[in-house]
Amino acid sequence: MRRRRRIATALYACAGVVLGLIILVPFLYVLSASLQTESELIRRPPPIVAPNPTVDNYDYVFTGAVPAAYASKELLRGTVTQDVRQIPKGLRNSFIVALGTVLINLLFGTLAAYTFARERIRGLYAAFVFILGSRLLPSVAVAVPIYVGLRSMDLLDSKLGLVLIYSAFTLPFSVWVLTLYFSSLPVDIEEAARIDGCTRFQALRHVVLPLAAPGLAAIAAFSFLFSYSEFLFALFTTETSRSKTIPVIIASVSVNPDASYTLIAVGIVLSMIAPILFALVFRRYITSGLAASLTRG
Amino acid sequence: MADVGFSQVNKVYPDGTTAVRDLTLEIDDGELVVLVGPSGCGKTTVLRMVAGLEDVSGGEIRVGGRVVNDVDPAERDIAMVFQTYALYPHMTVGENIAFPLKIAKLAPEERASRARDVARLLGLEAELDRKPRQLSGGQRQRVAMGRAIVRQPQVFLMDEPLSNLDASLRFQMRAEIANLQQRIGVTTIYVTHDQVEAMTIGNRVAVMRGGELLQLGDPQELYDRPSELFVARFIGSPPMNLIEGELSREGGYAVAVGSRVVPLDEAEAGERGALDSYVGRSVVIGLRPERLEDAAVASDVPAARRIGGLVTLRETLGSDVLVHFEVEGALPLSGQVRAAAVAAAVDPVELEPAADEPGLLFIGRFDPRSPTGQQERVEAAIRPGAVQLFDPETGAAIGRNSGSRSRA
Repeated sequence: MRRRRRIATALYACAGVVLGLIILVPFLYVLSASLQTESELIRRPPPIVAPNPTVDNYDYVFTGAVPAAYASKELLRGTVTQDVRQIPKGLRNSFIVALGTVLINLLFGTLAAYTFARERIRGLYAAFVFILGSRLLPSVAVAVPIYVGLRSMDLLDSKLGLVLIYSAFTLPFSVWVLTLYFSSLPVDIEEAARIDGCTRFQALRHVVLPLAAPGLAAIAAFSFLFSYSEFLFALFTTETSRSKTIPVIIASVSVNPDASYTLIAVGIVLSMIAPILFALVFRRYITSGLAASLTRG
Repeated sequence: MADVGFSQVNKVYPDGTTAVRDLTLEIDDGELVVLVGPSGCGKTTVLRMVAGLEDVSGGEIRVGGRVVNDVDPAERDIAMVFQTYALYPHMTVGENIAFPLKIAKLAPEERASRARDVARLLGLEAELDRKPRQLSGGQRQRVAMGRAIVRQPQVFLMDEPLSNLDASLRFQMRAEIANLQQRIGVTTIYVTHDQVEAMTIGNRVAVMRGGELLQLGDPQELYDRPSELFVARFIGSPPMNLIEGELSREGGYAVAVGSRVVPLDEAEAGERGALDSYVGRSVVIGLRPERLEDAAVASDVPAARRIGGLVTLRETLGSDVLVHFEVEGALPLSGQVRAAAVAAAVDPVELEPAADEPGLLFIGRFDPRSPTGQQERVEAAIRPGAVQLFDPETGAAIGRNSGSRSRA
């Protein structure tokens, strides 16, 4: 019996390792590719591990210093695209847009969800269903109205415009998750806070929000990741590096027939950093928050 | 400290149910009043209205002379202990206790020192840095108390504070709460469904049913002179035995208890003429188990004041025995009387005689020397002053109790 169990454990471990490799290898390969020179990477077969790792590609993206390898082989004109130099700006835009969307989700998501969870006002339930239902529309279906709307507000090619679009797409889910989360918190505790001298708002701040932290972290992570990597709306509402986000820039780099594979890899690696950090920091909350709101609600 | 007054207070929920009806009640400064009744009687609603967690539909609630109907809970200067304790799970014991002071914007040092004092008073010093989930039920209960007293409020509200504790702890905390309340002398409204808790802890006890205050009085008064059948049944354990019988008058008053006719003594008959209108009619006779005794060990009771029956169960308690017996010749109580005596919808079967029972089941709390065993005939002596009479239609006490009725 014990031996059989040990074999089972070993099998599970192997399966886990295989699964981990399937997920990780593409990432590692991109990382490795970003550390090579173009001529190394286009060899057949391409090296799995960078033979002579170099950060020249990164250097070029941030400072514009052309990698020595390109200069020497006279590949400069064809493969080092100028678009790549927009990556730092794109990262910054993406980060700002994502952070703005997170803040709007936290602020309005909390207020709306708390109202839905605690108040009994006529029409509140209908509003709740409407908000949830609005999420069921395919986003492409509202693309043209959104475009026209943004244009009339003079928000095309602006970060604020993107924040508004992404908030509209993420808020319904955030409100839903937080409503379930708030509903699962015992009312007693809030009532105790009210009697202990809190105003409604103080009770929310001192008691409800700390207890809802996992739910808040979950929606923060969700809205961050969504808006950081959204492509479609970013593509057709942005125009210049003032508002182009990282997915748009990477796409424009990679569709360029002159594109350098190593530089595309650099863009991908750089764009992954923020989401990975975010996911690592909030890992515990995201799972527990979503699980709690779904099971307890 | 403050007195609390209710005048004509009503609570009607939006769906039309009336939770509290015309409650008028004055609670003195420093007094501990217990609201007791079966679940759904409106006692918790009353408490929540005082706290400001529930709107008042009609009437006035005053705290310290000030009408608080529309005052925000935070402004009422009251503290509440919840049935679930409602501790803040993300704060330590010390932070929980100090929370009202933090909201009141006291300086951190002052907060900490007052929280420590309260913790010392409640024996929680060692737990100050722990989180509520690391505490036992009794400790959590104390933290909830601590959070209530730290602010030195005008009024304490306690909503079934002991119902989540096990029996022995409940016994201990009951005494602690009574002691604490006496020591700090804050006006307290205490809600419970447990009549023993109500009797032991309260200066005065208010019995409620169906949103109405039935009787308010000190515990002994409620026990000795219940104004209603319901109060009579609700206070005391085991509950008062009830039977219907005709009141007659041949010289003195007498009532038929099953097949016997029991003469009433002077105390039982009460003021002259009080019973006259009931002569020849059926009345409800109430006999507390404690006031019955096995005739074999109660030689001092006159032979005429006895009822007979067949013992179905004998429970030994050590100090006493509880003898269950079927009264000879007894008829089941009418539905009207049962409805008046029991809590609506709570225990509708409690007084229901089983179909095969010839008479009604009485319980006598006898001296342990009582020789009567199971399936034997028992003669139960009725002690002087034990018989209490009630109107079978209204459930109101009649005879000697009529003068002391304190229905609010």
